[in-house]
Amino acid sequence: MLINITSIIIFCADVSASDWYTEKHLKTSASSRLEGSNKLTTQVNALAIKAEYQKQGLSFNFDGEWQYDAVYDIHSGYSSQAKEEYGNRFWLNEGYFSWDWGSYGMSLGYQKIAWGQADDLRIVDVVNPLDLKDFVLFDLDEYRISQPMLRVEQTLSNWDIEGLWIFSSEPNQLPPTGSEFSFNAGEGIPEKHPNDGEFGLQAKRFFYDTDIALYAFRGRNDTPILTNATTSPRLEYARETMLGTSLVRPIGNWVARGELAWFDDREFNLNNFSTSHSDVLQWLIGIDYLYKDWLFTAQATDRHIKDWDDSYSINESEPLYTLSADATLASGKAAVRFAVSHADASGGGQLYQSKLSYRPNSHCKLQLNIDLLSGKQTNFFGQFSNKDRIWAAVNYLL
Amino acid sequence: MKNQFFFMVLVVVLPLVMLSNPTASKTPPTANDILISSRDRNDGVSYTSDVILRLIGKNEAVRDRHFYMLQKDIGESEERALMHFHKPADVRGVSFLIINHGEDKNKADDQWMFLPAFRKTRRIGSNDKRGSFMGAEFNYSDLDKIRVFDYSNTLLGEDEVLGEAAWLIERIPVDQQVINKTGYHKVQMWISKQKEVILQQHYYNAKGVVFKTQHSTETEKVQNIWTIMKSHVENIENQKSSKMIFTDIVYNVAVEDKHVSKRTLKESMKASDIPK
Repeated sequence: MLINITSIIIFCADVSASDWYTEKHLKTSASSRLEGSNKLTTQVNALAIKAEYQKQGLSFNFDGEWQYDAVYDIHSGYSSQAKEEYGNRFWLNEGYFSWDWGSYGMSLGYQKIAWGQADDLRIVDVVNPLDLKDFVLFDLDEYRISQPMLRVEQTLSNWDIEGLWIFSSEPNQLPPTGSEFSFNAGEGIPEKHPNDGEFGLQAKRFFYDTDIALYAFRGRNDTPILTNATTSPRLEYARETMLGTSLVRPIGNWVARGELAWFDDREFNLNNFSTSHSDVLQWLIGIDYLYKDWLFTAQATDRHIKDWDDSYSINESEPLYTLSADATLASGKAAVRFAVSHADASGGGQLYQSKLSYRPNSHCKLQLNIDLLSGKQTNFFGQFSNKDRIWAAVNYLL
Repeated sequence: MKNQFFFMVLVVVLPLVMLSNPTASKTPPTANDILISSRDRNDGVSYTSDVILRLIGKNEAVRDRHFYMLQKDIGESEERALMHFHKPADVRGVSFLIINHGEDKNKADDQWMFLPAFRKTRRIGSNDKRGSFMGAEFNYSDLDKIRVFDYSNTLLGEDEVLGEAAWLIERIPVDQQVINKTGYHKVQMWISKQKEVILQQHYYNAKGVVFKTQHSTETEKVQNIWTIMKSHVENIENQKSSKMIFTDIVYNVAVEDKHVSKRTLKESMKASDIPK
């Protein structure tokens, strides 16, 4: 559909080369488990295209790539569902039109919206679902799924207002059974997802040295609950409302960040497979410290489920702590990120990451990531403790 | 007769000598006067420019990064600047918004950065400006306006730089906080007497050695305002250098508040979006 629209713009409109900006990238990457058999876990080859068109107040942005993962043809360690899902696929980062309508900024099409101030964590960042093919090992925006929506922006007094109408809600994409990071939850149980509309509103301003934002979202929880467990079990995605806020304020060399989200009457599974409703409060505090070219970040997040008791199938509290250090070095040619995340619930588990990238010239980017997972099998990170991996990539700008 | 001769000297000759050497007739300005005059000189209420940030490696390898710069004065002492990188691909979309509150407010700058890869606008602390600006030998403090009272300033005398008469001022940071912010333990600054722009700077490290220099290699009168068109920074320690080359500068253009706002940070910008 988007490709057709692009073609129409190219061939029907009065288009000159100066109105267009395009980038074409060839990418190849491979990842390998550090232990076990069939160590090669991905070998993705991709052609990525980024295009921007701007003319007379109308602009069009497209960013997508065709991916072929050769690992499914190299060895048979993965299921046919995994091959079908990931062997060949088109990944759309975004594809939308934008224009000004009076004082309103309008954007229509597949978009990604990142709400909040957390670093690689989601508290009020509830708009787009996630593709968990590679668990949470890449940067959050790389596995955020773009959704078709109308986005309206307006500045009223000192407030920047953003309204969202997502035409069709979509859940998180869990890897199919027999793939590298399959969760093995809900296997074979039919899903019910009405794909109905979702609505969001953000208002933000700068006030007394503080960045303040307020959020409201009405949509579906991207994570399912099990219903009718005894008769005809089904995975359903409950409607819910989120109200949230975020604050950022510099304090000397530090920048303090905070987020708070309140989910009204969220639906949960109980241990006996029935369901119950409770309000949920989720919070995050974070601090950043800038030292020359290095940015150090520490974050803590947790949630509180109102009236929680032992009958709930999930923990009342799921504290998560992160520490990270990011830097751009070698005159902007190299970037490094070191991060440690600790999920305290269910016996504890950790994710240790180092991400390095280097640009020997303006056309080529080399990347190397190492991801180490540890902890109890019941823990969010620990469940994949046997899946430590190394990932390397070459990205060439044509 | 002898007394009459001395009287003639006082009344006739001395004024002639003073007229022929005007500097002897008045006290030279203080270093602070010169710096305040340079800082507060008329530079318009707004301006836009295309800028090339040229990174020159040890082996003379050159990489250019292009950005649009928009600046606007808000009221008496607030200045907002937006820098939007548009070329090459690896920096395209990176943007900075800096609100400078003016020295009299004694308030740190407010800074935000938008990195398209993360799709988020990030607040950056402004008390450490030693980091490299987009990989260049300019650090973030080099982009600031002159901050007179962060330093104890002494006029060392007059000098000639790039063929121009200049005041030479020595600047010693008033406290460790300023050193931690800029990375400079001492700065020597040459300011053009005629144009009131900075012509040259030498930056000293903790050992009292010059480790970085800056030269304004080209100045031009744009709309009757003396403007630095090319600035060259050389890092003596790592033998790398950077240039900032300004083109298409226009002063007093209709830069609206929305052009220098957080909302604009994340929007892609092209030449036709720049108000003229």
